[in-house]
Amino acid sequence: MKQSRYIKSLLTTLGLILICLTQSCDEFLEQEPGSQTSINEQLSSKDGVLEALLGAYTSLESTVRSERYAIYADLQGGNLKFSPNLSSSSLGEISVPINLENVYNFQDLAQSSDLESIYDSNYDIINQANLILEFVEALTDATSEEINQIKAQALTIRAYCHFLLAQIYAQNYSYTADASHLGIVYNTTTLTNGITYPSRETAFATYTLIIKDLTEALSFYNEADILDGPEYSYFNLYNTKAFLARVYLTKQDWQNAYDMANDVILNSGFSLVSSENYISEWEKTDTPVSEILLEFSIPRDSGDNVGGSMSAFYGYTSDSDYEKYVASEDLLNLFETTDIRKNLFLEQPLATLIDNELEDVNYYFTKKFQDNAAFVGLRLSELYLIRAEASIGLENLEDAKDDINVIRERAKASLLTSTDNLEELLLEERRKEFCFESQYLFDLSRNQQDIVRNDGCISQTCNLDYPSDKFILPIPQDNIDLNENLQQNASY
Amino acid sequence: MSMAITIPNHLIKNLITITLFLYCLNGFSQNKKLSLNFNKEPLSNILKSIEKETNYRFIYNTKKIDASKKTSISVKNKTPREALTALFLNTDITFIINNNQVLLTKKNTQTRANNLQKNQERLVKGTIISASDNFPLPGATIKIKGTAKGAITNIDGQFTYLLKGSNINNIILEVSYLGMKTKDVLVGNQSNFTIYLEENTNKLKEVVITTSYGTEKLKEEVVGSIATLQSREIATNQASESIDKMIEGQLVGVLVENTSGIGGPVSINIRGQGSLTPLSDSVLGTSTQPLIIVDGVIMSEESAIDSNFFDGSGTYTETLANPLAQISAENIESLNVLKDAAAVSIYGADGANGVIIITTKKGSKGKTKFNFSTQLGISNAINQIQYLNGKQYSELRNEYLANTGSSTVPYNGVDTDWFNLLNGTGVYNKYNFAASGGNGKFNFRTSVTYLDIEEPQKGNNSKQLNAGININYHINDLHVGLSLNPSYVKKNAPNIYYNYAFIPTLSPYNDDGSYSSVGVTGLGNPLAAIDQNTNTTDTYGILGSINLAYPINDNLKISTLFGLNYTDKEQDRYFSGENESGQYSGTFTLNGVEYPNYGRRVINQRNSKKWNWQGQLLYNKQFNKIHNIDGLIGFELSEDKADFDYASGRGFVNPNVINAVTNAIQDDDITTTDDETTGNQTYDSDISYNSRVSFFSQINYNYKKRYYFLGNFRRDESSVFGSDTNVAYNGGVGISWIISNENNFNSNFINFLKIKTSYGTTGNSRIGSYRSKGLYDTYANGYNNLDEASTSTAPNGSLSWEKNTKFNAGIDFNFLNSVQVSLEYYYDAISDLITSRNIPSETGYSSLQLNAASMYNKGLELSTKVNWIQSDKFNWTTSFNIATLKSKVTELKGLGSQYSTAERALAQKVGYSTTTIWGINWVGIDPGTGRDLLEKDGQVYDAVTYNNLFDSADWEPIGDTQPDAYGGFNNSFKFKNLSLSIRGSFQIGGDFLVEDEIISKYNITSNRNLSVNAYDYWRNQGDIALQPVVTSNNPTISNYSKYLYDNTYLKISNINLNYNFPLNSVKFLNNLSVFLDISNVGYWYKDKSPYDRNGIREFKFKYPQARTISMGINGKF
Repeated sequence: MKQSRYIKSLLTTLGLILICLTQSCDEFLEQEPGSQTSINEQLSSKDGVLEALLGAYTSLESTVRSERYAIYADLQGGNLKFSPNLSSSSLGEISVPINLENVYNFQDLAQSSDLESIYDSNYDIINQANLILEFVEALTDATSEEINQIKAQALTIRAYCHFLLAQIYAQNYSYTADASHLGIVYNTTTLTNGITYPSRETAFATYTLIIKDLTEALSFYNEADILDGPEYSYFNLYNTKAFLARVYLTKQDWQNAYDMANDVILNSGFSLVSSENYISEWEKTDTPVSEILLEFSIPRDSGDNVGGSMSAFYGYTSDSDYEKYVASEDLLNLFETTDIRKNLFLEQPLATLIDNELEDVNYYFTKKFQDNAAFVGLRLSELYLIRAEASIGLENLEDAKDDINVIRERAKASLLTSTDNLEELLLEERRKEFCFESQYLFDLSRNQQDIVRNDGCISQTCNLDYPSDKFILPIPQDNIDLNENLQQNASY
Repeated sequence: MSMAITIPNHLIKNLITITLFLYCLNGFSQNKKLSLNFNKEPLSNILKSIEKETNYRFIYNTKKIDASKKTSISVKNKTPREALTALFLNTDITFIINNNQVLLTKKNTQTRANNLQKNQERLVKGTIISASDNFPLPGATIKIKGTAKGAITNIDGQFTYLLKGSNINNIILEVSYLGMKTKDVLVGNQSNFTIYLEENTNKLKEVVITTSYGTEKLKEEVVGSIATLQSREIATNQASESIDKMIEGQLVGVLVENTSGIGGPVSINIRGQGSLTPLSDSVLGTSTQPLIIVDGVIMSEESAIDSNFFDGSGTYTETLANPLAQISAENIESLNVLKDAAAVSIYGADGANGVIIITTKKGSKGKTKFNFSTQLGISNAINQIQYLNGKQYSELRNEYLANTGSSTVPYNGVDTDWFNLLNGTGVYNKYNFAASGGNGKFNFRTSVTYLDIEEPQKGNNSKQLNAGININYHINDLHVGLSLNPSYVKKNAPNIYYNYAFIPTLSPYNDDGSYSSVGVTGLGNPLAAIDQNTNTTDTYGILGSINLAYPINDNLKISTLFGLNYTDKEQDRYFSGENESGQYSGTFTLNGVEYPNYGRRVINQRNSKKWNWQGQLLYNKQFNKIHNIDGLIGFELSEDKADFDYASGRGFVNPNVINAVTNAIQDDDITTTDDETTGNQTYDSDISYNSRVSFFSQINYNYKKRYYFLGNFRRDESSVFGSDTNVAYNGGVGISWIISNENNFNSNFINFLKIKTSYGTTGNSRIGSYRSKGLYDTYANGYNNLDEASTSTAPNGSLSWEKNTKFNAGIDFNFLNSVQVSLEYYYDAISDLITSRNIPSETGYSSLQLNAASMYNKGLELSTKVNWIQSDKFNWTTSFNIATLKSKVTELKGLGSQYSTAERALAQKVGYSTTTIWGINWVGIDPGTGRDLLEKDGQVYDAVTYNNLFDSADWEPIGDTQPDAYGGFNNSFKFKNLSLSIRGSFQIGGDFLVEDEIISKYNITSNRNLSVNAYDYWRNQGDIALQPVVTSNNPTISNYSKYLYDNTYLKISNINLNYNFPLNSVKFLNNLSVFLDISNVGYWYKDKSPYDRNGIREFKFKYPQARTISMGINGKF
């Protein structure tokens, strides 16, 4: 009797164990890390997904605000030259900042590309967006509006980063007639689906995919309020449309570019900064110009201390405390005397070494990016000039002239009276309006123009005729080495 | 060796001529040839003469056997069996030989006749007792010889059995017990038996624990490759703090790496390193250590985790400790190392690096016995590195200053020998007390060991308290066992700057007697540090299990065990503001007063809980006496949880006394919104959890004890794997054939012969938790001041355990009754090794942990034991083992280059061992320029040219840290009551790379000394020098072949001389012995150190090893 009781209880226990094993194995085997969070855990709740989305914005912000990206288009295009050195050992000398030295000389190396970090971090952000897109549908604690809103923003981030990469690593869209030249790797998957060794899309396919993502995003935007903070610091319906207009323009899809730009101008509710406020709006220390559509918030700690801003490259505090980049006279000389945009330059005499003597020479800092200035993503003025450029493409020259005049009028520059040389004038207007806003090199290549750098150019190669392999940069050699499917750009 | 003895005729009257041939040593009579020549002699006389000339003893019942009967026999050169067959050919007597006993009985024909006449019954009772310790033996088998009938003793070692038959007096009882010599007992007319069994000293009859799930086998019957040490073979008197150091060299194929210093992490490699040497973050790699199981409890491994503050690197992270310090060596009954697939595949995904099963001593029935021992010794540092003396240093330093364009400084006359100041004489002190006893239902053993080690390194000491409690309780057939091993280790180590070579021209004291400043950032005057800083670690541990077992019937047993290993460790450090180690730059303000940032308190805590729960059903049955089957099936759940805490406070108002972390406060900066009051305090915590669910089974079969088969199967599901691949199936099979058990096996030379082989898979799942998941880091104050998360580690859903396929083949043979040899060949193919690989950054990540490499370890293992002389007065036994090891990386998956660069000595490249040392072939010093000359592809380059042309990716293999062969030996001598044992280990081949910073890195001499080898520097044109010109622009590259030393050595690890007092000389004691022990006696290196210079002997251990000479006393009562 006693024996059988023991047997019974033991067998019962064993049975219970087996049941428990088969039933709750999964839970028992689920162990979460401590200070870090696993992807599954992080993206299993709405709050977690929103944190991840904010993380993507932070990465995007720090990428576009990095010297290597923020300066690149203006430096290459000829808008910038360098202020004299401040360090005692080379006081007054003018030298190329080390971070962009090879790029500036059109001698970037695949092995150690100046912009390698830009390549890597953009794909990092793309992966963050992809992870969100992969998990967001399954959220149970979010409304469908919220899910759509998250999807819309993640898709836009993904498209934005790919566009940025396409501009740096792929020749302009019209480089070949059918855009069959190399584009970039378009990544829409994550490692949770296994490792892939992608090859580059054609330029055509790259832009098709960017537009697809953006169009899809536009269909998802809604009224759901998911993240705190200024509206312009996140992607939304209108800045996405504005961005799409820029993409269409780059693709020289004139009608779509026109329509998108027109939509934003008419319907976004934003209006251009007025002439009177133009300078003061730019001089504001902590907030962007009122016509801003997209501006990524600079990092601040809980004590509101700024963790970095555009003034790190363009700032002027005193003659012993200023930054590296100033306007070239190539740019300065474009402005008519009446042009109020001339007042955006801060003229400062700085000790410069000339023939081994220190002499004061005037340099021109920009007021756009003093103090706590952030990277300007998109502002309404650009939409007028996109519409103008599209109109030229559509051969509505009068419309184009009118749109250019909207910007010129505000700047108190002389108005265009004829449609002669409109393309050239438009390019110059863009240069004047968006200088320091990371656009000019791309404007040049889109319009198949040569790079001409005169004033202050200390590059071994100042001018570069279009087309040239050096309009774009090498894919980092590490990536080429690791992935035999990946093709390097010509001449690298 | 053979010996012929002619027995003089007159000894056995005039009729007897017996010639004996003795082929070997002691007691080897069974196979000796006999010649008998008797004519009508009484049988008893013939038997007596045989007894005289052989070791045979005749047993017979005088009532049945008429020994006075006149018998004739004439045989020449016959084996005893043949001779006896002839002797009894035409009689009614038959005989049975068992070991040395020859039992004479009446032939069957006659018994059968008696049988018909009378059928008898008799109830017999008895007790089976172990002869060595007088304890009754529960579970001993009593069988009627020649049948399967019989009884098993109960808890009290007693049995009762009803004998039936016609001739009960002639029945022989065969009494057997695992680990004891089987004994035959003639029933005769007895009804009550007290039978003593003797321990089997024959290695083959030793019991080997084959799994922690309750299986054990006789050594001869083990199919797998298992190396075993019994308690008596372990050098428990060696002055070490944990068992791993005592077994160095004593187990074939087991390489115990000698870490110097007390209580450091254990390093045991079984059959080579089971995983790749990680290229970075060695603490975060896959575990290369065996699974250690103590009485069924899986010991937790102390390892760092991938998290700031807890990654084991940097000045303020925890110092890792040796988990084996939780058990005292005195408490260990046996240590079994499982090596091949047949042995370890039952441990599935945890078995790749081998498994060590430790069993602790248990109590047994009888009067309570006590055992005590104390040991006291002194230790000294040996083989210290010689540094430049003050004059030499000053000379070299000035050469450097002159050559680099600075002005020289005259020698100040100071010559400080920092080593002597920091090292002295250590004291080793150990006390051990144990008690054991029990009655039929209950038995216990408890023990306490207290160890107090003052290291030769001044200020460093370690106190260790280990207890052991073992209780077994029987309620009817239910067995309840409890095993507890609580431990407490207190380590104090303020002398932490031993490996930094302070310059000799610096006086340790100022004129006023205070400690001088050493002027090295982050370090303090080492003497001041010993005096003023603290670094104490308290570790509380408990290793315990409770188990229940119940026999359902004779063939089936069910048992379950719950084991827990709990450790709580706190390391508490204070860097005093009184010396530079605690003088940080900057200031803080409190109550408006500005103070320097002096004093730092750092507290690291680790709390680990590892439990495992297993349940299994064990089956055991014999069919028809020829088929033996046993097996088990079971489950195991385990969970390992480690919690980490870190607290640090820096900057105190009164920094010269130990402050609490919370005392590190300062004024709040009112211009910010943050509260800066506790800004100098840092807290962090993290966790590392993992869990596993497993099912396992094993089956053993043997046919007539000749052919053995073993099969293992295990399923593991683990939280550390990716969700795609979280189930691992492993298994193995083994077969063996005991040739010497075959009927027709007849050899006078070989006593035992067995061949065996096994094949199977195991895995290595100890790859660190969460690696497969892909991680986010979360931050406060992110974008727009909101909380945010960004990706960090890449996910790899298919990340899986490392697979280790093991093949083993071996032969065991014993010959001449005194030599035991075991030879094995193994080949471990390891695949899916986890490595960090660069991946295309288009994925969003730069590297990924993945299963991307394969390698193998293979080698031969030879172990032998020779009983040279075995007599009552003098015994001499030698055991020796040697193992070879070859390993090679066979595959590194795609993903770019086959060579992982990074300027480090160990890399991974196909075709080379993972322990290959990469570097540059050094040719000499250019007599013209004084610069290093380096060779690459047959071309000799000046160091500067080489540096311009090549980088670390061009390095070539210059050596290998892994030895070609390694092993050890143990020689024991016993003369009357005196015994001496000498243990040692050796290594053949293998290289050791000395850091260049100690030899010729001149640019660090502003505040660091160099070894005296640096003094051989190039001075003038034409000099044939060993070290280059003393300047900064002779590039310093670390891995020159000149820094490489041959690590071939022989080490005498322990010499122990023991004297056992004769028992009758001390009345109240059962046993008393005194001993003298020398631990770490010395090293012999093949690579000799040049006169007055350092060689591998000195360079090998930066923390000098200690030689300890001790004396002790051991008593039992």
